[in-house]
Amino acid sequence: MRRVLLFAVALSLAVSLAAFGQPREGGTLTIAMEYDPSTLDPLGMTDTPASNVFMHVAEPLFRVDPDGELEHILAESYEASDDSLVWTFYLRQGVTFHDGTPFNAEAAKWNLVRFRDEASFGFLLAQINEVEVVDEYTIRVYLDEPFAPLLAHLAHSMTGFVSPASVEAGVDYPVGTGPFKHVEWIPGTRLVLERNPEYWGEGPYLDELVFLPIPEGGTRVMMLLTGEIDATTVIPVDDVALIEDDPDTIAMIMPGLGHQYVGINCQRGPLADKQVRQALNYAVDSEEFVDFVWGGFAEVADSVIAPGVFGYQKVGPYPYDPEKARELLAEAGYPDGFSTTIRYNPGWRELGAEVLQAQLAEVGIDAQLISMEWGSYLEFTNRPVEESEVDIYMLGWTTVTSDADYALYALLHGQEWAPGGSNRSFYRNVAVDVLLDAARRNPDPQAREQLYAGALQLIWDDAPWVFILFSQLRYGVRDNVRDLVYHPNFTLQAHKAWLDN
Amino acid sequence: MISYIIRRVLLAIPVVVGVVTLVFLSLRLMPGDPALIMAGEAAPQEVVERIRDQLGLDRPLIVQYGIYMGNLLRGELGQSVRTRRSVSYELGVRINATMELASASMAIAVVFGLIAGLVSATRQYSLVDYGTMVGALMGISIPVFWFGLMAMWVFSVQLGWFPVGGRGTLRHLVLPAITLGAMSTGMIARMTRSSMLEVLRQDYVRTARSKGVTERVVQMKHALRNALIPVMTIAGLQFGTLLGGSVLTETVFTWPGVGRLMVDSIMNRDYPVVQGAVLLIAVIFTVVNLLVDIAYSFVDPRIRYD
Amino acid sequence: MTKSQKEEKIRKSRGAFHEAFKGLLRNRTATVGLAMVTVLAIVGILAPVLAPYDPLRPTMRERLTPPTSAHWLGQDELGRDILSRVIYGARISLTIGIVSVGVGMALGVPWGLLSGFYGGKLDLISQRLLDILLAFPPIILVILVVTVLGPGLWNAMIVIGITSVPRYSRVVRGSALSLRDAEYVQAARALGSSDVRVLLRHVLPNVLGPVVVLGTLYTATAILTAAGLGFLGLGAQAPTPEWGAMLSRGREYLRVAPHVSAFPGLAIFFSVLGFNLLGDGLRDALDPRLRGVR
Repeated sequence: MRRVLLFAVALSLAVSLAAFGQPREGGTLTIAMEYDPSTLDPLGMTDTPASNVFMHVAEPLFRVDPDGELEHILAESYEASDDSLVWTFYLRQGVTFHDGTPFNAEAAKWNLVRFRDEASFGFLLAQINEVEVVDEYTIRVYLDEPFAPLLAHLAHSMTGFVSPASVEAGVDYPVGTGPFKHVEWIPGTRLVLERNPEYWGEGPYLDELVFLPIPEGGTRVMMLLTGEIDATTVIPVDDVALIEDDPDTIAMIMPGLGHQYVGINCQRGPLADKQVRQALNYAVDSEEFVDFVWGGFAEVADSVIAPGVFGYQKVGPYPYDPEKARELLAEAGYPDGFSTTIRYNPGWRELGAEVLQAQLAEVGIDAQLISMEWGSYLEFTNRPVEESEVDIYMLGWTTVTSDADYALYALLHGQEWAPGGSNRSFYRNVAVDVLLDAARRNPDPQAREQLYAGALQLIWDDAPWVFILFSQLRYGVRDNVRDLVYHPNFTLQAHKAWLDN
Repeated sequence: MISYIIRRVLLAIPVVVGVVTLVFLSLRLMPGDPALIMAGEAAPQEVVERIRDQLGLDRPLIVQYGIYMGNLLRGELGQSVRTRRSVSYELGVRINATMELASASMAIAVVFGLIAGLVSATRQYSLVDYGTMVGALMGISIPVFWFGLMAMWVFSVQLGWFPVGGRGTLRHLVLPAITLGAMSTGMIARMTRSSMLEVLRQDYVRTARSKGVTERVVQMKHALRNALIPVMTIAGLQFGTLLGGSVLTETVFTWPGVGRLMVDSIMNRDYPVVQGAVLLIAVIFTVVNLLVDIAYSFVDPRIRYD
Repeated sequence: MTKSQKEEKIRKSRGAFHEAFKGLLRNRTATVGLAMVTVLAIVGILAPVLAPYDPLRPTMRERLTPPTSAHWLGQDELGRDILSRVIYGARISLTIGIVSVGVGMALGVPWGLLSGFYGGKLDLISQRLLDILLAFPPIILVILVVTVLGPGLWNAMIVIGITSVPRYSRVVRGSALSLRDAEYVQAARALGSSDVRVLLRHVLPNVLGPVVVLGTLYTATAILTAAGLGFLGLGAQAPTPEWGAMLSRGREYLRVAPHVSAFPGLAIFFSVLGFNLLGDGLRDALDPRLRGVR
């Protein structure tokens, strides 16, 4: 049994199992990523590999741990005013950046304002109106209106703090407060970090942390088997068994924060009819999809967002029922089905599209497959509704903040239609919009859960997507690696990792 | 000679301008938006707009072209859209890797190709000849990525002799170089054989033989020297192809070269990098061809450039 | 030209082809190549008859099954019969070869003819245009254009054809250049034959030999390049059983089900080898001068 399934309950067990024995100092941990970070400048970062490297160098106020709990990193504590408009953060004291300059309220303010105003991901902090320095280690943040996901956004790794002095001096690598310091980066080849001996917290135990960009999944697996790397993200589903069979490697399978969906253009032809969209959901056998396209490493979607996301509520699943699908189609006026298209980008989605095509054919829907290279695909599905030629498309989403707002507002709010937003299904239900707006403003977690539950039920019934699956994350690791954190947001966190003999 | 070189260089200029223009236009004709790609599927729209703003890709095409050509004249290749580093830096990092791989492959191809070709030519219609030539043809016919995958599976994973991927030590270089060099080896072997056979039929070789020069000396001194000319052409052309055309090998072995950078940049719509990479390869290609032509005159004094 | 002269010429050319064909058969490797290409052609043409199963029909429950007596080459990631897919793939590879070579010839031959025959500025400009094409490594040009036009087999075939234009054009141009001053061409022109007529009747037949040889060799290149595109995900669209695309998909299962990628790989290898062998033989029989081309 070389597979470790990290489910919520099993998690603490797995961690405590892995953690017996004293951490050993020294050694190099090599992690393979899918591709090179685009940049390590917080202003330009957009991708997961960048995020994954950056979080070891620079730290934000908070971090969300794999269980969804808020960890305090550079914020020791915080308090909010009754109206949730003013937030006070008490910063950790005695922390210095890697260049020796102190981390204090000035540095925090400088970073937050700069990120909000200039960073690609500046929207994370767009709700912040003003940042005030109260004293050396206290800042106060003012909002225009209550924004419940604020702390989740302040825990986003890209908001990590870098030394203002280093930026002003034009240093072209990140200088943060984290457990590791930047050493060298040869684009496309390797990225090396070394231990920060002055680190304020526990660890680091490793001397060196190396990231390699290895785009081919199969290559990552083979490198893991030969020991060229110690850990890797995203192993191909069919290789999991191979890693389990090798005595020196372990496959880490765990629920993720992402969902894969088959989007339906809610404004186009037969698909504009809710019954037709529901029929698609009944016609698609998600279980078969999970088993054959994802090798069983996913869960059939029983809601719009994954269970690990705050605000999740079970509202499904749609059972596989081709009979019911045919009835619904007949009621909608398409007893003999209709012709449509499925668009996707090459890769595993190709297999998925073929499965979908076969399943839809069973209820008389004749779907033509159109593969588009990624760049063209993103643009094609991002056209305004009146120009859109999209019928059915396949995409995925990872709710990196672990908060429903990050997914539902962007993907399904009626004001977020492409190209102004990410609602590529052109779905609009005013009742849903009202609920999402309210949930965004309400500071009370329980009230928010209620609001999201209502929205999820409506969305589920309107079926703007075929709700397919919640993906599980598949990490591979050598068995002497200890205390590496496998985060559901697709990052491997080596802050406290160490190598056993 | 000097004037010949100057003329060749002058002739190359319109070609290079043509290449740059062609690439510039085709990139702009490509559907897709760099901002959208960088933001990815899971990013809110604000991100896309922020990036678009940062990139300043909204100016008219002709203006962008003018700016680009102007910068080019000053030797500036611009800045990568994706990484924001300068294109010359991005290329500089990769060209080393590409040169390393191409040179190693070329060395393998020349050494083994020449030996195989010579052995074949001197034992024409023997079993060795047939075997070698079938082998050479197989080198040309085998899909390079398939060969690479199989080699990796056998030698890296099963036997553990070489690393699976990446660049660093000499051991990292072996499998990619063999994979990439297979086709060139086959071509050089075939070329060597046929041009040796051709030369061995020539009058001056017969003369040498009739004068009692030993067969070995005939082959090595008189024939090989002349047979080398077409071989050098092929080798030169192949070297150019290896420099830019190793995308598949680089993909299989995760080799951080220019070919892979170019394909990734096409996919990411990183216009300045694609332009810079194609320009670089076109220039290298042209220079290599020129050098090959010049080298002729050393091997064969009959060839003169006026 | 009198009637008897004409007949003489026809007999001669027939004789030349006859000789060439005999030469081809004498050449053992070429015979093997011809046999391999013939097998490929027969398999491609008779695909619906030969294929034991529907190449597109998935049987999910049997995915990645290794070769059995029911499925001689096993089943792929969707449980489709690999033998049937490889058989239908022959048809696709033949199409790729024919279309790309057709495109290359259709553009390259007239280009070379005109360029060589008229010479001067036209020649200079057209040669520089070809230099631009030649300055790109072919695979990069193909990737670039396919990204502009969108992935797909037809786009790929056309672009692959275009990358071979310079080679045809160069070879044809060389012959046209030398023929322009040949006596019988001069004579025909003096007798008032139009340029088009001269080109078609007198110059073209003389360059056909090398063009056929090049075409055969480029069929092999086209199949390989298309497979490479398929490998990068820019070639044939699912569920088309194109060998390169099959191989590319199969590489994900290389470690657990090597048969999925092994057989399409072998099929590519087989047909490319066949065309190369045949091309070699044709070259020896038709035009030994071309020996420098590949």
